[in-house]
Amino acid sequence: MQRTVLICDDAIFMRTVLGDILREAGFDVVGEAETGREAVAKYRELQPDLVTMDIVMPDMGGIDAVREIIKEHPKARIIMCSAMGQQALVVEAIQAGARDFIVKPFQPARVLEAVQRVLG
Amino acid sequence: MDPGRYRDLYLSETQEYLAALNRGLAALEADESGDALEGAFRAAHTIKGMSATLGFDEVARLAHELEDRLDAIRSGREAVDRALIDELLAAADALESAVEAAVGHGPAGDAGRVEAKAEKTARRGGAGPAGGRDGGRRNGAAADADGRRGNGAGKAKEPREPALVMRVVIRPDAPLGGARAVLVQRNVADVAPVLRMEPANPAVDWSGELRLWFPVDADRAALERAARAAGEVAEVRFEAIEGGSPERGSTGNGGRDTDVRAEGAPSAARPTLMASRHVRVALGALDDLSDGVGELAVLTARLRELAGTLNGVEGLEDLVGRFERQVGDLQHTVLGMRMVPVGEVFDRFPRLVREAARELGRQVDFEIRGREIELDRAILEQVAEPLLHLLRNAVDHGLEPPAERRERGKPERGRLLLEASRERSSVVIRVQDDGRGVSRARVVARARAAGLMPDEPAGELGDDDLLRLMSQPGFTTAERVTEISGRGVGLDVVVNTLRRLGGALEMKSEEGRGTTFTVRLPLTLAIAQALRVQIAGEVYAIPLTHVAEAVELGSGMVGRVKGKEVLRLRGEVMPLVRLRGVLQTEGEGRECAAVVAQVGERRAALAVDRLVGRDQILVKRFDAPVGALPFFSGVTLLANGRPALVLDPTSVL
Repeated sequence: MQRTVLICDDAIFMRTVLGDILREAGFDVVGEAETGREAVAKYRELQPDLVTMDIVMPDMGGIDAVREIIKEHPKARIIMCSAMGQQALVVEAIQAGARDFIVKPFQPARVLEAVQRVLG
Repeated sequence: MDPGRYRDLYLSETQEYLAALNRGLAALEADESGDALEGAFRAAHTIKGMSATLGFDEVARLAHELEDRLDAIRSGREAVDRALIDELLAAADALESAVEAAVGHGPAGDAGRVEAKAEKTARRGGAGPAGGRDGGRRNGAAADADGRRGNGAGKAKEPREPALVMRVVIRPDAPLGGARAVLVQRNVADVAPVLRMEPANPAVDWSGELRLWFPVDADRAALERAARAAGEVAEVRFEAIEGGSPERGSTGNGGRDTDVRAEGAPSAARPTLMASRHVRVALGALDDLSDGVGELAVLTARLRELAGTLNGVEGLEDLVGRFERQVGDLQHTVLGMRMVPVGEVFDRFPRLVREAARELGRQVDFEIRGREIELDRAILEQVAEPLLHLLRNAVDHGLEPPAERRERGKPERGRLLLEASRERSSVVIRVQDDGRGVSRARVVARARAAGLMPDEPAGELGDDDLLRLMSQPGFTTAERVTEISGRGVGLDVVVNTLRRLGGALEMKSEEGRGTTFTVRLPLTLAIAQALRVQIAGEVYAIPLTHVAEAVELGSGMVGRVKGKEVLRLRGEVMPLVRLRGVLQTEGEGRECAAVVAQVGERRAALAVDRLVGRDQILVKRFDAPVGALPFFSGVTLLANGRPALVLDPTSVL
């Protein structure tokens, strides 16, 4: 069965890149969100197997979105998308319940490794 | 053993180690890399082994104490300060005197032995880690110095609660290593309470590795798994149990002693001597160097080609010849620098196997052979994980519980063998168990349930067919999900990892008798022997690791069986794969030759237009673009300077 993914990022470019990597690997990208608030709403609606969450987004950032989602769905599998230099924010996201993280620029192999770990 | 015969050798060599020991101790204070500590530790350890071999028990005992204290520093139980270093240097002096006494004056040596015996007796009666009763120790000549040492060691072992210390190294190239460490911390905290952590705040203070303290009874295997699940973990190691009874600390060392004694101290002694003549080089620099030399070799071959066209230039031929030899030597040297004995990784396994066995209620005699076989460091590092997986699988799914073995008339202790050997230009690593073997019926049932196989009656399945089914993603026959091998996820990962390294996995299994997994790897990632073939006007390189032979296609050699093309070769019939079709290329020429590829028992002929020649190639791995054909493992430059794709024959099989 295909695994479902929700991609949250305010940049279309990043959503496309990540979407392509995941689709090539056989995932079903069931939704995309551009803001943290949208991410929370879409998670509720789609209940995907996996979420990729950008840290910096307008209208509720990624970390707050993680908190919201985890509050309602403690088992949600969320991977943070970060950039170099965002270590403190990534740590905060992990403490909020994110399962793993990937770092831009995305390397397909590393992305898929993280996904595999999280879906275990 | 007659000490007299080896006295001179012992003395001269011991003196070198004593010098190394003193050097190491003196450098302890500014020892950021830990090299000085390691050097001193190895020197003490080697002296101990040599002395014990010759029956110089007093020397061995002093060396052992010194080693214990250095180990205490290593595991963080004792902090290095000036006073401690003075103490250690004094201990080294005492060791030196003992060596002289043992060798120079026979009687003194004997007296030392007697004294040591008396002390042992006293210790055996003694209570507790901190030295306990001192009664029996007061009569020897070394009583004073000894008492001081005893107290020092006691002080070191006393203060903290016993704890299990785990060291986790994050891959140096992993981005945001500190955040990765936090992930490790969070994962392991689900397994056992973290008593202490260094660095306390990795997000701020990160240096590449993490140490975590747990209660002594924490589940090591589960901790390791949890740590590794955080990803980008290069190494997980458990250090000596901290603050436990001294017996525990010395059991670890004791085991190693026995090895040293059994296998002969002199050979164990070598690394120490050499260590002092080594310099540390960044691995990246080494890679650059070997890449550079490889390019040089390719350029040289090109030069040779060009020179061939310039007939009659005085001395050119000779010059090119000398050039080639120089480059060849250089290549050899650089290659040698990349090679490390597999023992470096294998020696981590006994403990992991023992732990897995304990957890699963198996009894295992684990044997390692061929430690000295050398392999490219880059390959060795990456093959550790797949091998560990195979070993765990063997313990979990291969070896039966003792009761079941007894019923089947097997010895209760299962046998597990890990063996490396060299076969032509490959290294072969075997993981062999004498367990229940792979059940064909179960594999088939499982494959059907998972939709990997049609429901019609299967013909005779060979071991290779079984392996192919078992290495499909998600395949498992384990009826229960065990802690050790998880959900059977893995054989596919093992196969993929090996393939990325240019290697392959083979399996032989006999139900009720056992299973052997064979891993075949190229010696090095940097340079490969390859066959150049031409297909539709393009030249490709096929590494020889999996090539059995190459033949010109004669009339009547190609035929059809059940609608599929086959090659008949000396009475053998094997499938024929037209690479033109596989690579989806069209162009002039037609298929006149075939390369016979072999993995395990599976053989297939790959039809090509023409065999061009054989070459040493420098393979550059590349990250294949998404959607690229999965048949290429890299690119290379040919002698004529043109790039060629490197074909992975196992991908076609």
